[in-house]
Amino acid sequence: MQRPGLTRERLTGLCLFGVLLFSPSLIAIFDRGGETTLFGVPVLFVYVFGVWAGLVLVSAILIIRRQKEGLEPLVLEDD
Amino acid sequence: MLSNTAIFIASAIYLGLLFAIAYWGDRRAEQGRSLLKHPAIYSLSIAVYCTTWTFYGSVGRAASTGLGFLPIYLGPTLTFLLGWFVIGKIVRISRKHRITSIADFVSSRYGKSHVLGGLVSIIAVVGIMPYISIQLKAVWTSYNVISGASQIHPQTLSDDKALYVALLMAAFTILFGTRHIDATEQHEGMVTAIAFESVIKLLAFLSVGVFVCYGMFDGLGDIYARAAANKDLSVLLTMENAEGNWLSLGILAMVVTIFLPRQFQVIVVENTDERHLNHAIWMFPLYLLVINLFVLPIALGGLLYFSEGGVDADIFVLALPLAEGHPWLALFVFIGGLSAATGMVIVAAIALSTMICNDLVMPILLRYFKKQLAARRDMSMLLLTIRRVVIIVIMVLAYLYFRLIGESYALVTIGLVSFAAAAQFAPVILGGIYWKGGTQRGAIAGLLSGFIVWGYTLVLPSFALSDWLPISFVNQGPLGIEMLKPYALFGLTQNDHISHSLFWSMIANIGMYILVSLFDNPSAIERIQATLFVEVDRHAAVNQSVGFWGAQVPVKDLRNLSARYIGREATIKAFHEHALRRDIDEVHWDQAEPVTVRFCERLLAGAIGSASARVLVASVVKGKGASLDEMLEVLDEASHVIEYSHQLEQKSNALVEATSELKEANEQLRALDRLKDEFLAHVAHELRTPLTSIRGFTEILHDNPDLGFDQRQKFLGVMVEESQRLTRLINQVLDLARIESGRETWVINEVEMRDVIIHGVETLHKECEKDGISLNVDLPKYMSLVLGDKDKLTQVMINLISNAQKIYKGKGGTVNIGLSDQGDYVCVSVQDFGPGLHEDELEMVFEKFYQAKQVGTGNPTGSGLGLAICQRIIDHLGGKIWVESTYGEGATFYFTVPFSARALKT
Repeated sequence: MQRPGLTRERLTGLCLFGVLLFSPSLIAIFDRGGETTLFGVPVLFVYVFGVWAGLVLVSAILIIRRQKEGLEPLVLEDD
Repeated sequence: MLSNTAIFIASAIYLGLLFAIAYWGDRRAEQGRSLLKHPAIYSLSIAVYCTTWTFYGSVGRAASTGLGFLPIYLGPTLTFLLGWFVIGKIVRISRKHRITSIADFVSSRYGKSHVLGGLVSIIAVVGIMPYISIQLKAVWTSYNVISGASQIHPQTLSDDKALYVALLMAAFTILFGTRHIDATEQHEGMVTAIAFESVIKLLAFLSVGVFVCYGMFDGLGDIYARAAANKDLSVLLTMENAEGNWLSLGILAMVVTIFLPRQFQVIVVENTDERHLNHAIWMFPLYLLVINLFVLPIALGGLLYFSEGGVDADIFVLALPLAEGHPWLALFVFIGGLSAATGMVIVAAIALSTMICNDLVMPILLRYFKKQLAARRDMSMLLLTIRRVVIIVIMVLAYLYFRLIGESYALVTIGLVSFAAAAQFAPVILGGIYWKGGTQRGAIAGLLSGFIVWGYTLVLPSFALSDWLPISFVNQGPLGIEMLKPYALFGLTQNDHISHSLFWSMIANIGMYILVSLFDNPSAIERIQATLFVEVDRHAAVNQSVGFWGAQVPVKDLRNLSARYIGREATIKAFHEHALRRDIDEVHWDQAEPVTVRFCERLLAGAIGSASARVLVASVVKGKGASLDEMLEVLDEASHVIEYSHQLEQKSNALVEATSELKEANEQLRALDRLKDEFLAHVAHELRTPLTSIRGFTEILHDNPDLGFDQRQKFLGVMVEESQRLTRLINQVLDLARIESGRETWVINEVEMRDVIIHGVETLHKECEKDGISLNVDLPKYMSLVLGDKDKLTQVMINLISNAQKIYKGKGGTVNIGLSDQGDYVCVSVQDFGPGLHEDELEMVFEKFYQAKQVGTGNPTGSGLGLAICQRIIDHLGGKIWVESTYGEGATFYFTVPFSARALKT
């Protein structure tokens, strides 16, 4: 059992982390042109798509795990 | 190349299938077995974000900027991570207030304002027009490519296939979205179809991606290796061309992914269960990731394949399979593109038509054609007609935009213009849900100035570039004013027009919004709506029954009203559910409670928007309930009265306290006054006695000059004695007055108490002997140093001894004088064995003139002030004086004086 709102805080942290990772200055580190490749793909693309996939994966894990615990983060009270 | 027939049949089958799915979805929803129970459908419907822009345009963008197409998809990924904070809050607010569109949301937040709703609708239509036009352009272009037709400009209107595409799409949208008016403005069938389309376009794009990578080249590595070797293409493998507007595009995409009207429609309005948002947080970004995986390989592959040029990069996805001789794959891709286009057009047109109908046309009708409206029985047909007309108008406008301006631009470039327009909604919505201070006038000012700057920096120049305005407008500025050049406003030169426009329009928008809001005085309903929106999570924060207090409306009227707009059956069903929920007996349901009035307002809001619903309900309730402002005034007044009476109460309490204090003080003063009178009377009396005797003897001496010497001596002796008594009395009165007024000078020293006692005894020794009184002094051997005034203590001692002496009236007796140690105090006792005192006299003896009263009958032996003076002296020295006595057995006077500090130490 985790405290309420923790998942959404983690997701917010993830978002901020994403902003950082996608910032031009960090991307520039991996901007090595077409010659530097990993599995035949330029490291620039590996980095960008890798970070992207990482964000999706972590958020999916966070949400699915939370749902398995049976917590409903958003419940609307109707009328 | 494919024949027209094959393309037409495939398209018709596909669109028919879509329609069947939508119909099936609607049926399931009506039966209560909604297909939208699964979050994946919700997430897929949000993927309507990926239009032909993504399907065709991304490749085109990647072909010129490398990774430059990506911020458009990274932005939404980041936004959805914040889903619970921003999107969740908007969804919750919208469901509570039955929001039907983004215009409705803004208008509702800022006091259900018609003006604002209309403004947002207009901005949305104008802003989204370019976006819809690129869908037409994409479908038209892709059709030309796949059918092998030339892309020349058609000669006549009837010859223009793009117009047919536009009209077909309008018809399709009308069939989809405006078959009937729904109380909640949700189109479950449409959402199902959109989700299906998202799957189709994803599959189509992936298949062409796989085909290019593995059918035409030897995998990803091969494409990248060849591109790296090509000196024209190697730049696309770096950030060089992407960097310029990487940030601004990302930010733009972050906000428009919620605030584009069609995104707002699928994310917020069509949301059936808030929990679906949980999974959309990762599913939608996942979709974006997957659909973008092959964009770069296709773009690079196309550039490598068509190295001699001549093929527009925007249509690589079609051109590559066609060139390789795979027409059926190309057809599938064409269908995928058609999917992307129809999905976007349907949702956008429905969102826009709802907006125009509810927030622009209806308010105008309600205001200026009230009588004609009142005559109509069924309004739902009117609503549907308005919406259908609006859809056709929107499609025709989009077609015109495409023909007049859009032809010469790439898909993404046109789409970004719309993005910049949709971003104008961000400040008023985000400000509206987090800042209570944002006001209606502030929102209008912000939106209007942002919109104007957007139009000036993006739309007008594109008119100029399409020869609708002189080109000098762009190059030299209007009227040759350099500072106002639309692509370099105030000298801010930037290669990227979108970033430039975004920068200035956001400064104008946010600046005006905040500035005007800060100096505005919002009305009651604005303040209430602001609180309801910002504090949506605090359930008890505000009483929800904002609206018609104390209104007396027959339920019948409300039923009739809503039946006119949403239909009779839906009305009966909704009112029945409401009655069940509220435990209302439907048989005896005559007068509507305020909660029912509110329910009716929200029911109508679901169909025609909150601002119009409010006007309609008010027309039924009119004059019967207190208006919001009146109510608020009453509330204000009441709270003022309460506050005032509270203050009054406090004041009166204070008054009561003061009065009682005054009374007490007055009582004391009176008592003092009485005492003073008594004192004066006593003093006068005491003075009169010796004076009388002096006067008597003086008169005798005066009248009898021949009195004998002895006689004369005797009389003179009495006169001297009486004069002394008089003097003594006056001295004592003065003493007392000095002590009481605090003017007495005290010489506080360390005093040996035993010396004081001995001194007093010695003073009176002779007199006592004369009266036959024996003084027994019993003193301890040790020192008894006290802190006091030696003269005053001696005076006390003499007073007490002489009192005891006087008790015996010259008949003789014994007086015991003792001294004891009481810890902090020395206690002196003077004991006599005279008549003693009654119990009630024990305290009174220390009052002034007391003794005089008691002995009043005989010859007074004292002034009656002695003990009073003693008491005051001892009090001043910090001790106590009292008397213990049993009547008939004599009395003992005690007094205590504190030890000196030195005595206490030893």
